[in-house]
Amino acid sequence: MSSDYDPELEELLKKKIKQIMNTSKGMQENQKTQEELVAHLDSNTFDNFIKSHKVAVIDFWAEWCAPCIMLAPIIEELAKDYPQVGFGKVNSDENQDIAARYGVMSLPTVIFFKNGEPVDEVIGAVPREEIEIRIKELLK
Amino acid sequence: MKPLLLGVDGLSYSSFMKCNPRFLLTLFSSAFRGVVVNRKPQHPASSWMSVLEMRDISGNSFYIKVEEKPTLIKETNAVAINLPITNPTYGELGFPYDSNLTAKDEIDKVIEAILDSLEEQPVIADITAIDRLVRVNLQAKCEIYKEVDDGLRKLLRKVDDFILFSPYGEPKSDKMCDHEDYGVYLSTVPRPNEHDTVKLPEIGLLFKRLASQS
Repeated sequence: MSSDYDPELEELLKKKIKQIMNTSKGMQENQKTQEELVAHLDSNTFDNFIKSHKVAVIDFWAEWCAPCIMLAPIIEELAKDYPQVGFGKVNSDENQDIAARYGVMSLPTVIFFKNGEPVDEVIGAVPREEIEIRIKELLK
Repeated sequence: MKPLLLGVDGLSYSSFMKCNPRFLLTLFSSAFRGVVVNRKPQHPASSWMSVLEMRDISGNSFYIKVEEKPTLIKETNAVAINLPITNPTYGELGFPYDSNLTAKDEIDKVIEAILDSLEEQPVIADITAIDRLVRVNLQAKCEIYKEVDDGLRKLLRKVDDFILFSPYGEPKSDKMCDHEDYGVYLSTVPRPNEHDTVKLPEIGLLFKRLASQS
């Protein structure tokens, strides 16, 4: 068997394995970045998040709410297109204190914050344009 | 006419805005609705078996052979059509779970088989096109949604009582168990707690109750 050993081939294989592992790691990191475009917020992170972004867009949702699931990809799309805006989502069932503080009565509700203060809101699964027009206004 | 339990594997509310399936959106506004929650592993066979056995079943492969009729089929005396618990699918039609069959061919044949049986017996059927085809060709998603939407329009206008659901959301990769966690539930019958998510065994129980009333 020892006569089959080829150090050059082994070196090449090692390099190739390292290359594949790096590519895979890169793909995982890329996927993670995509998922984190919209931050999952709770009572511990919410206040800091809206204060640390000049403009923030927060999607109040719940798992049982079908229109919330409809709206989610639009929020994700906008988060990709407006990296200067902070996009977050709050599960209203798990964070009732935050929902109550902003008077969220129906889902989905999207609240727009400027300098940490709520300035506008949209209720229901609306087309992208309805949200985008408000973001553009706040970024002026 | 008897009730219909129809699955559309991979159908997701998350594509309703993008693909604009007009009949499904009308149904969304007029039917009783809910969100099916199904966390990984979300294999078609174990997901469907959780409905058919009315209890959580785990697993990440197709059954080689189903010796005994699943409980829900037995207890409702339903006709099974194209159920992806085996590969090829279980019951009438028996299509392979791969990307060779077009969405239109599958939908047309499933609808024809459902309408042939529904006058006499409850039917439990499935359309697998979204799950089979979107995982290999994401670009074709809205075309497939249109085929599904057109087919459902033709079918559900002729049906009195139905539960239309997807056991999980859209495929997220080409892996069999990798889907969005949230599926669709649209029905002519209300659920006891509409502010709760829908679990797979609950779908079986709701259909069993519906069938017993027909």
